[in-house]
Amino acid sequence: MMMKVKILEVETDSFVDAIIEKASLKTLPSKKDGWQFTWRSLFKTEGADLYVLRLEKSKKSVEGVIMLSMMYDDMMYMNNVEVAPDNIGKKGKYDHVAGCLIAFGCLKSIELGKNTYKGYLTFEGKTELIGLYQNKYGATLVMGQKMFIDPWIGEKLVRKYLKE
Amino acid sequence: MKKERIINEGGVNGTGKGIVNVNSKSFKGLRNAIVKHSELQSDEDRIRIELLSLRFQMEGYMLGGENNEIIEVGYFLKEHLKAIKVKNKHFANYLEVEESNLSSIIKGRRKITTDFALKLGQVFKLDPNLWLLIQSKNELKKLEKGQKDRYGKYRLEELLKKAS
Repeated sequence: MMMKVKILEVETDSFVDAIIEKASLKTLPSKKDGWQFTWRSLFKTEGADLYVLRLEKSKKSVEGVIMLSMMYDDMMYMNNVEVAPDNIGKKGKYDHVAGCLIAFGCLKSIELGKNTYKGYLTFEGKTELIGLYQNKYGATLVMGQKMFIDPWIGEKLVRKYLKE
Repeated sequence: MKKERIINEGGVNGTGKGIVNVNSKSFKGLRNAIVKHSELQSDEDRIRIELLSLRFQMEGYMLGGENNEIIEVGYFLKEHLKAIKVKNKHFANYLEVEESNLSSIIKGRRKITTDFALKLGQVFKLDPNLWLLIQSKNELKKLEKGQKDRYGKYRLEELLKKAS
């Protein structure tokens, strides 16, 4: 599976071609490069799928990673998402990386989710990000820090970040 | 002063872990909340999600799919009819095709014609090409798989040598 997307190069304010594809152990970034999560350990989690977003022109330029698991064979769960350290903050290089990855999670929840849970992307948000995910991505807070993005919002995110 | 934009705000989210505690109160609460939320969906909403899911499944299949299995175009058609809860007979009558032909397409014994693909595209608001592309992809896959020697012998270099 290889999906073409576009991310925004901040400096030139222009979109560049990127790809979301299944991660391999070799393509995953490590903590020594400034990433926060131990993606290579997470890769070994049974039943989870990891996808990387990279520039189309270079296999080595991983700009973000997402980890998805199908829970109880019916509900899509986003365990973790991380944008490359160079892409975060006021001096970030490429924008829309987080948006593309979250929208991709929504697409997978619509594609592979089952029954009542079809189209619901679920996750646990960090305390300080709950408000942001509610406002920016239309997520609903349920209990504790558990959240979901419903199919209607998910479809909008897919259209905004992956199809346009 | 212009406020500086924060790139990919919230781009690092999740617990950093691979395992989800499905016995926690918050996880159970999440599942229940989705069940309640989905009860608000009308029948029309459910059909729309099902059709969107099938569209993403078909597009995903064209992008390489999650595995290498061949999924017949008839399967996708059958699932579309299941999603809209319309019987083969009614569907065939409405699209002015023989019910036996529809049944043969569903069973993979008959090909989808361009005329029928256009009708399907119109009814399901799907690119008619998608049906035909899946059909072609499968045909190619089957031929390549079964008759590698038959096609592997053709080479441009050899053709040019023979032609000169």
